[in-house]
Amino acid sequence: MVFEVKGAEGEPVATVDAESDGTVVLVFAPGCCLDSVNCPGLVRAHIAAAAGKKRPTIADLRGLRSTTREARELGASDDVTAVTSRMALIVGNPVTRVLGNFFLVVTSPKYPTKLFNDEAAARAWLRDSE
Amino acid sequence: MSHELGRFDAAVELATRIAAGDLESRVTASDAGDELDALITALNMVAEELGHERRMRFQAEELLADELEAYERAPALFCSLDGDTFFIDKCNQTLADALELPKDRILGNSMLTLCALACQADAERLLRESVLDGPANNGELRVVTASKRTLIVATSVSRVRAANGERLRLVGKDVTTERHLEEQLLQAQKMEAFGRLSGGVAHDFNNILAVIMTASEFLRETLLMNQLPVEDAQTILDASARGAALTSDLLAFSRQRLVKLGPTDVRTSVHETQRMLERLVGAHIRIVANLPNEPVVCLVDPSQISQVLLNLALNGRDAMPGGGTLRFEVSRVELDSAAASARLELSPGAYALLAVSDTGTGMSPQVATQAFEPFFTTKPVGQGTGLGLSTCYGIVHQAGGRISIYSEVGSGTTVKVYLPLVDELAPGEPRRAETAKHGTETILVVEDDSGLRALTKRILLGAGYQVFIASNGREALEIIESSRRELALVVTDVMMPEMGGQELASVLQRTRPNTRILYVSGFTANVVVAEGGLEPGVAFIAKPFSSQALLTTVRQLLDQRRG
Repeated sequence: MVFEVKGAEGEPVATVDAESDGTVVLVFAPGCCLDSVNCPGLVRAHIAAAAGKKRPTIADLRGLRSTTREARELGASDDVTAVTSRMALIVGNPVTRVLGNFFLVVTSPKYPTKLFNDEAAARAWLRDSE
Repeated sequence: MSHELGRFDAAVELATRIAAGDLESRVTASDAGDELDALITALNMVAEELGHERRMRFQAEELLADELEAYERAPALFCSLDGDTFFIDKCNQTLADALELPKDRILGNSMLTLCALACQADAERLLRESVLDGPANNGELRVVTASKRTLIVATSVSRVRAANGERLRLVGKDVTTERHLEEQLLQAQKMEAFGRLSGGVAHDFNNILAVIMTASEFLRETLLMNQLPVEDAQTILDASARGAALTSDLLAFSRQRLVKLGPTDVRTSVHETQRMLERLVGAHIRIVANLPNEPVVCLVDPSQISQVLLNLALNGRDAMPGGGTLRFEVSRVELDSAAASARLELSPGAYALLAVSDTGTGMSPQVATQAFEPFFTTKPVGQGTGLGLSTCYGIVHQAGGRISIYSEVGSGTTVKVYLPLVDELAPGEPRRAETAKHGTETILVVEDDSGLRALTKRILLGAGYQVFIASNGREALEIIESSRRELALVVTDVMMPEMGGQELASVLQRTRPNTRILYVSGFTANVVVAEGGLEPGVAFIAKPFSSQALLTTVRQLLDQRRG
C-alpha cells in the first residue's frame, strides 16, 4: 500500500510504500521543502507503513530541495526510531548530499544511517545488514 | 555569468552575515541543485543551527537569572560557577551571609578556594563529575568562613548550558549543626554502650571481690589466732582493695556507683583538691585558682567532685613534664537554649562551670574525641588505666552535668565541667558517734549470690547476731511470716530474681514498720536512691564491702532504731 503525503496546500510531499519484504520506501516529491508543517504527515505515514515494527527504510532524498531544523528533528524522533531498524539515504545532486550529510552528522539519528548514490547499493546494504 | 555571480555573491554575503552574528538571514537556493546551491543550502542550515543554539543559551541564562532572583533571599545557599575553572560568577545573599563575606569578595574566586584545604580534592571531584554527568550530583562540601569557621554544606550541583559556555549551578544547605549533633549522638550512644558493658562487668566482679575480701579477712583472723604469718592473706586483701577501686571507677563511668548527692559548694572541692595537689605535683608546676567570692552550690557528691578535679589535675600534671601552669576556674554561667542544646545536650539554665586548664602538650582532635572512652590512654603501658577521664565523664553525667574538652597540640588542654546550680547549702550532717560492732539482734540476710550470702551470714554470726538467710524477697517473706522473733534488720541485695529488695522493703514497711532495711548493692539505677540523697529510713552499703564496714553500718542502723 502506497501512502501519498501532501502539504497544507495540497502540494505533494512524498510517497511512502511498504514493500513485500518489509522495506519501507520514502520518495520525496521533486522540489519538496520539508518543514514543521508537512513533516508530521510524513512521519504518520511512515509509522503506518511500518505497521508498528522496526523496518529497514529507504529515504530517497533526490527530489528534496530543503529541510528545516524542526523537520530534521522529527525525522530522528523517538516515533520514527521506533519503526526504523536502519535507514539508507539516497542522494543525487550536491544539495541533497548536503541535506543528507546534515541529517547524518548534525541531527544524528539513533538508528544506523548511511548515504548512497544509487538505490541498488542502498538495498544491498539494508539486506546485508538484516 | 552574471546570474552565477549573483548567486555566488549572495552565498558570500550570507557567510559574512553569519560570521557577524546575524543568524536570521537566509538565501533561497535556485532550482539548479548544483554546488553553489549546495553551499547556499549548507550556509542556511548552519545559520539555523547556530541560531537555535543561541536561543537555547539565552533561555538557560534567563532561567539562571530567574533562579538567582528566586534564590536571593531563600534559605538555600546558591551560586553559579564556570564549568572549567569553577570560578563563581553569581551567588545569592544567603551564601554571602554564611561565608561572612560581601558578594564582591566571593565573585571571581574559584569555589575550590572557599573549601577547606583537606577537602579540596573531594570538592573538585564532585564539580568535575557534575560537568560530565549533567544531572544533579549530590555531595558535601566543607567551606571556610571569613572567621575561619568550617561549615558543612550539603550540596546539589547540576550542569547548565549558558551563552558563555558550560556552567554549574550549586544549591546547598548548611548542615553543620545537624552533622555535629549526629556526631554527638553517635558518641553518646558509644559511651552509653561502654557504660552498660563496664557497669555489668563491674557489678558481677564486685560480687566476686566481696567473697574474696571477706574470705581473706577470715583467713587473716584465723592465721592471727594461730600465730601464723598473715602476709599472704594481707596480699590478697590489698589486691582485692585495688580491684574494688577499679570496679568503683568503672561503676562511676557507667553512672551506677552509689552516690550521696547533697548541696555542695564546689569552691570548697577546689580548695581541698588544691591542697592535695600541692603535695602531688612538683615545684615546676604552678597552681592557680580563680574562684568567685559567692558560693557556687551544686547538687553533687562532694567526694566525687573532688575525684573529678583530682583526675583532671593529675592529667594536666602529666601533660606538663617540663613544667607549666595548672589553672582551676569556677564561675556561674547561664546557658541559653542554643548553647545548651547544640554543644552540651543540657537544658537551658544556670550552671556552675568548673574549668581545669593546663599549658601542656595538648592533644590532637582524634585523641580528644576518644579521651572519655574507658581504657583509652596515651600514657605508656603500666602508667595509666585509661579510666581517669571516663570516670569523670560518668560522675559528671550522673550529677546531671556535662563535660567537654578543648585542646590544641602544643598549647594545652581545658576541660570544662558544667553542673546544675542549686540555691543553698544543706545543713551539715551530725557527726556520728563511734559505735560498737557487736550485737545480739535478729538479722535476715537476703542475697541471691550464695557465696556472698554465706559470708555475710558468717560475718554477722561472728559478731553475735542471730542470722537467717533467704535467696530472694519472696523466700524472705515466707521466713518472716513463719517466725515469731522480732526481726531487727533485713540486709538485702537490691537486684534479685522473683522479688527484689525494694519490693520486700515496701511489704515490710507495712507489716513490720520497726524493722530496718540495709540495702547491699553496686547499683544506683533504682528508685531507692532519691535525687538529693537517700530516702528517710533507707541505708546502703556498697559492694564489695569489708566485714568491718558491714558490722559498723549494721550497728549504726540498729542503734538508730533503738534511739
